[in-house]
Amino acid sequence: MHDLLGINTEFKPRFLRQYLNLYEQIVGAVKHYVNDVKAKDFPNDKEQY
Amino acid sequence: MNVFYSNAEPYSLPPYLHSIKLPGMSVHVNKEVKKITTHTLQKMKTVGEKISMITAYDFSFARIFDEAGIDVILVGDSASNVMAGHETTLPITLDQMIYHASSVIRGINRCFVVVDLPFGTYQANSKEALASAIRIMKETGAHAVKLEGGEEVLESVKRIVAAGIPVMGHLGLTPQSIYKFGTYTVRAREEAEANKLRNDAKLLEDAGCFGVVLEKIPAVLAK
Repeated sequence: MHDLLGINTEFKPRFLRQYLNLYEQIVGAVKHYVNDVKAKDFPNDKEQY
Repeated sequence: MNVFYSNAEPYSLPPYLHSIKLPGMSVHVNKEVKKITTHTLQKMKTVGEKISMITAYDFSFARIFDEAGIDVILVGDSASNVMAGHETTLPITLDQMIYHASSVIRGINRCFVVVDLPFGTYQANSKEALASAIRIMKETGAHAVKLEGGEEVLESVKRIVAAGIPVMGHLGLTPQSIYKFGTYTVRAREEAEANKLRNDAKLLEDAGCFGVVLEKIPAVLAK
């Protein structure tokens, strides 16, 4: 599953068809989250109790 | 996930909550979910329907794959590599495989779940092999076990099958033997190794295996 979803990037045998690049997408999403925290954008007023 | 709400909310409860009725919602659990069994797999093979299989090691992904319509989930000892960060599949233990497999089982509804017997839990003799297979079946709720090898493990395969546990074989590139091979290249290109593989496949079939993984071998040989 890690290969098919692109969570691993280094293992690419010929019998693998990679349907997603989750590694890049997750790194991107988490970077975005970190930036939002640093920028004091997250959490905003609606995202807390 | 076979849970239907009267207000058709696109949310599904995990299987262990299916019997809980939430206030204001009528929860109907679809009893008609056809679980995949070795019998189903045999029928698919007979009519020429291809069987989809994917690895999973945890509850959340197992739930996603079950919903996506995967037929078979393999709880692979590759958890050693991708979950634990080891270089090979050798270090993972039976207890760790049981942890992964029982997590997967809690996430599925329909899939057939096969669990790898990890390195060192079946090679010594058939009695140990059966004890390991029984632990997996008893402690995880999985439906079958997989082990690597042909003639070398035949007695173990027979003994596990005789105990009523479905067994999947695994020939070709068998990663638990990586230090014997020394390389992850394509297996059975040479005639001698191809002959042994053909013979092993026949032996496994006769011993009662319901299926076999043929890893990284020439496609013509697999046919």
